[in-house]
Amino acid sequence: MENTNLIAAKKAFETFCAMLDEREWHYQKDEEKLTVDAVARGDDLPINLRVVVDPKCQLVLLYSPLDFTIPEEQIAETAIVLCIINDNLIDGNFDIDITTGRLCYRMSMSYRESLLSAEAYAYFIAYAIEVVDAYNDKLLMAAKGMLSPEELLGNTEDE
Amino acid sequence: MEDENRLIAEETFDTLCGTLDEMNWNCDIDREKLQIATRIKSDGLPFNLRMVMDVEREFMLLYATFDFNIPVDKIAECALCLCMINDNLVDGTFDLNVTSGRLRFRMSLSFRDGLVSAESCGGFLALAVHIINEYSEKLQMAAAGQLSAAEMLRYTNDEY
Repeated sequence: MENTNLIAAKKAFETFCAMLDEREWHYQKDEEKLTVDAVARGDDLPINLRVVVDPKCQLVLLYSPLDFTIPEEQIAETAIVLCIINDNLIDGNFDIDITTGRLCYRMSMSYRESLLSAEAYAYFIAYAIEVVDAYNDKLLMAAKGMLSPEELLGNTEDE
Repeated sequence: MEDENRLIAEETFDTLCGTLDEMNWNCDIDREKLQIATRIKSDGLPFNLRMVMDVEREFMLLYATFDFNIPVDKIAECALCLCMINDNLVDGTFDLNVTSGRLRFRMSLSFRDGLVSAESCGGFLALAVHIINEYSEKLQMAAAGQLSAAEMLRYTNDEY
């Protein structure tokens, strides 16, 4: 079973890398750990992408760690900001490690009993970039104490 | 393309219904809206489950809502608790509406490539129920002021 899972994981990894190659992405891959690291250009801030194929959970996991951390004094307020953002998302979510202030967007796709296509992976990446690009500047403002939950609530209601 | 997506969504919906049937779950099925609602009473707190096919985005969305809300004076503490829990999850997320105090669990499964097997649906549901059962009681305690963010941190760090 473990071997079957690994074969499926490697197939998912190959399809994912082929999709990136086809779109002429520059990226680093680790075929042992089944990870891919890349940077996308957002409208304002660069977007880091780490994709991990997890044979045990049969998931393709996408993590987009943000380039900045939340200072300790802004953690409590940012936690509320994250709740407001996440509650408005259809897929994926922003995580914060409240002990370090590290922020990361996370999304997953299951390949259990199925072979995901390059098109599905392309959508997966495009959606993640769109979401991170929409909110990374707001989170940077929250990190600097320049955006309160009340202000963000006003913005999201407008949208 | 829209028709094709609808057909795939309907096929996935049928697979999901079949899976739920095999699991002996009693559900309200709305085939027009491609939506299923049920009430789960398992190991943890009871909760309401709604699954809906998003035809346009080609994925199945699962939402779980609970019988309790987060009171206004506990929103800040619970927001921290939620962040700790979410940071520990590999899949799915707990959402909090900070104005109403509504708590929910959300998870998705793509059917972009057409075929979602019964095994896949079963695994998806089992994982969602497992995560909800793991954390719902703790969140209820946080809502009642019986569990602090510091205690939640110890729980999520496996110190209990």
